[in-house]
Order: sequence, then C-alpha cells, then structure tokens
Amino acid sequence: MIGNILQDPTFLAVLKFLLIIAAGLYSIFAVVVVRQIAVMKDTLLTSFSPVLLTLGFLHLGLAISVLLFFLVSL
Amino acid sequence: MPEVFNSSDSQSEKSSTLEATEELLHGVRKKRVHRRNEHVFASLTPEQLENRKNKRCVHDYSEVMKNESVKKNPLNAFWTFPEKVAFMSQSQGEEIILVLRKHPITQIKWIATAILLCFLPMLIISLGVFDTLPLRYQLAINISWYLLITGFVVESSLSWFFNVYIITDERIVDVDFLSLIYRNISTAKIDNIEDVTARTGGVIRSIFNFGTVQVQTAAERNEFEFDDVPQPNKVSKLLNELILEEEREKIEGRVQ
Repeated sequence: MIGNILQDPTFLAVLKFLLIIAAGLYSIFAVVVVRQIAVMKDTLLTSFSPVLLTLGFLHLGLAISVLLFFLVSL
Repeated sequence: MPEVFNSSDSQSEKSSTLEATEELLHGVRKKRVHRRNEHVFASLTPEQLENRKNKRCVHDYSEVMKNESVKKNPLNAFWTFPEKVAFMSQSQGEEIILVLRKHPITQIKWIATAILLCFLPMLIISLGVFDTLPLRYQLAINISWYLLITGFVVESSLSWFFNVYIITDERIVDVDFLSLIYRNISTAKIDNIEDVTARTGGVIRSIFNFGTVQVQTAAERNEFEFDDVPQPNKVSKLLNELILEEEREKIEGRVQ
C-alpha cells in the first residue's frame, strides 16, 4: 500500500516540489547567516572572524549546490 | 665551632627568590600587554596619550589578572587579554581585559542532539519505510535531513560564539546574539556598577566551575547577567577591583 503511494507520479511531483522549496528556503537561510556573520564581525572583531565569514560563504555554496542538484536531478 | 644550618635563613632565601621570580614574571606580562597596546597608543592624540600614561595597567592593581596571561585562542570561554579583538563603540585607548562566553559544557545539549539526529536516517532505513521510493528521492531526502542538521549546528554555534560579555578597563559590554536576525548590545560604565553577585549551584556547575554573575548598575539598563560564565568568583572579584580602581582614579584626579 505504502509502496504504491511512494511510486505514484503525483506523490513524487509533490515531493520534488517540497524538496526544492526546502532547499530554496535553506539557501535564503544561508544568505542570512553570511549577512549576520558580516554584521557581527563589525560588532565584535576577533582574529577568528575572517575564518567564520569564509565558513559562512562555504555554507552558502553548499546550500546553493544542493538546490541546483535538486533542480537538475529530481 | 661548626656552622649550624639555619632553616629560617634558607626559607627567607627561598621566598626572596620566589618574590624575584614573581616580579620578573609580572614584568614580562606587563611588557607583553604594553606591546599589545602599542598600536592603540600610536592612534592617540598627545592629550589622550598623557591621560593614558596616567592610567595604571590592570596588572598593577588586579590580584585576579596578575596571574593571568595573554590567551590567543579565540574560542576561549574565559579569554583574558584577547589579542586582535575590538568591538563596536570601543573608545580609543580602552583596553579589553576579559571576554566571556558561556562555558562550553553548557553547549553539550545541542551537540548531543545534533549527533543523535545524524543517526536517525539509519534507523528509518533499517525499518525499510522508504525502500520503494526511487533512489534519487531517497538521496534527496537524506541530503535535506543533513542540511537541516547543519543549519541547526550553524545557528547554535554562531549564537554561542557571538554571545559575549566584555569587560574593559572602562565598562562592561553585553553582546546578545538572540537569533540570526536580532542582536542587542548593552553597556554600563564601571563607575555605574552598584553591586556584583556571583551565583553557582548544582553539581555540574560546581564540578566545571561556572555560574552566573549578576551586575546591578545605575545605568539605563539596571541589571546585567553574565549567564553560565566560567570562574564566576574571579569575574566578580575583577569587577570589584575595577570599581575600586575607578574610585581611586577619581580621588587621585586621574580621571580621563
């Protein structure tokens, strides 16, 4: 029963839509993270802040890659 | 007559050697702090520089900081004399003495949650619920799940890193990083501090020596709470020493 639902094209289309929306929202979250790190870097400047900003950009890159992967492969 | 060994002589000799060593170490620490502040001095006007020279170094009056050295690890929760650190609204010549964060042990809850959540897909796979789902969808669901965990870890770690309490020789600063969108920065001058209380309690807090330091002030925000900071007694003692020094500065006319 569940197996049939999981292979149903309508269900898969809805799932694809939801996964792409989730990845899109996550990319927006990653942009907010980068923005926030930049703002906090001005508030509290430490030797670790540039590293943190780089990590933030890597995280954003990962989020966008996942979104592209979902768009292409699903 | 044979010379009798006098233990008191030997002890006094030992204590004088110890004193000399302590003095030497104190001098080295002072030099290190001075070297660190050289770039600050360079940016001051002659008048500000004169005021600054009149100001005593924290090593001169603080018993707590006398034994503390310059720490370089930016992830330290009890970060004494931080190097290459500045904060918004820091005035020229203002020296950061201590940067505090929540004790790392308080972060165990979200770290353990993240680790447990990492194992959840394995449990679901072993139950075989999604076996009939096409492989690429299974992969996409897995990636989404781990991305969600990454987001949770990123937010929690950023929140820990940027939620800091700064003690300078002039004031206390509370930087609250409430969420990714909200932040709050409050400051109070040392001479506005009225009361300092250090609170510790419970098994974990006693074992790992962390607690809350409550600061009552006459400033606009009348209460500052340094939550779960390491060595709360040291922090409270340092604040009391800074208050005394501020009063001494006023009496001796060394006020900037």
